[in-house]
Amino acid sequence: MQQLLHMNELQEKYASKGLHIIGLYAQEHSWDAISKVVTDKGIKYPLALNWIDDAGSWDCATLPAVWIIGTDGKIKYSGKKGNDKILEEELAKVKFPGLGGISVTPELEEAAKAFSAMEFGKAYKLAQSASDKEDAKDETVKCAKAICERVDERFKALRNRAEVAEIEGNYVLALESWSTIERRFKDYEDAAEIPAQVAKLKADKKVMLEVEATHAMYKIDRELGSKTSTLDDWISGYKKFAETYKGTRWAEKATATVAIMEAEKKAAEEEKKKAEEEAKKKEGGK
Amino acid sequence: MLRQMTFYAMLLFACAPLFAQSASTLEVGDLAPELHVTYWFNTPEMTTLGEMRGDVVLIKAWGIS
Repeated sequence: MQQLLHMNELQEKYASKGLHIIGLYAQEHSWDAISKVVTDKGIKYPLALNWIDDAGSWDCATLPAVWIIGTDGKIKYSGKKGNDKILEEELAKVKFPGLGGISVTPELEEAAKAFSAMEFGKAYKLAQSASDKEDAKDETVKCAKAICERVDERFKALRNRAEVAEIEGNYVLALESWSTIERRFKDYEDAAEIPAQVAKLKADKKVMLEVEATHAMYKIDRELGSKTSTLDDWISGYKKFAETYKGTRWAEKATATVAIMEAEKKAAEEEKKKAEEEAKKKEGGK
Repeated sequence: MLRQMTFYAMLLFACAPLFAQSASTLEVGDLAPELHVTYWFNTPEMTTLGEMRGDVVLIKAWGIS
């Protein structure tokens, strides 16, 4: 638990200097139990509760496990406790968070600072205006172009994530992504219609029910998975969920899963019955 | 029973703890593979490692017990 507090300190100290902290919650505990620790310990960094790792690259078999990824995207540390020295060495390479290796001329420092503060719309405007000056040096024009391209890339990535999430019916992520665009891309031309998009989604009752159902499903799944639940507990839990959130994507999934569970239950019962009958026959034959 | 039950959870989610047993260790110098998170608590603004490229990322796997 001491390490959790240290992570908070690191988040506070280095978040504006180019550090991203991600927690992977790698045990099966109920939502309430995790939520309590997050609240009690005041955890400020994002926590991944579910993730796909088919290759098993992020080895969580022994906890805790810590990895530090450097500015070049490579693993700089892999171990149990973390390493502040390596972390600080890597952070020293980040001049303007988010801008990677782009060299920034003095005329563009404000734009770079705005980018690092995630004020992308402002960064774009400042870069463009520095580049548009009649006496702008070639290096400044080149650097401004790189900053603007980085803003464009960030915008496209977020918009793409939001659109895909919306198509997939993952409205939690879609809303988060659209809201991030709304907040970070003020005055950015292509983001002009985003606030209306966010408002439209939030006003859609079906969407908001899907959002509620998503949270509820993850919660119920953690509840059932964190204790010794029987097959009947799972069936009844999912059935109740499907009734409460009828019409949602998650209710459909829960219903389909219940059908599989019930088929397995029936098969197990038949097998048991058969075994009992055979035992009786053997008993009678004696 | 819990192991069997997690199969059902897998039908609904990509559930991280389920894969915890079949891991291969990342070593220093390896290119960090993408981490596909399907559900966040305190959702970050950048949700993929690709989006964080150029910055430093600290990942910590932990649990209560």
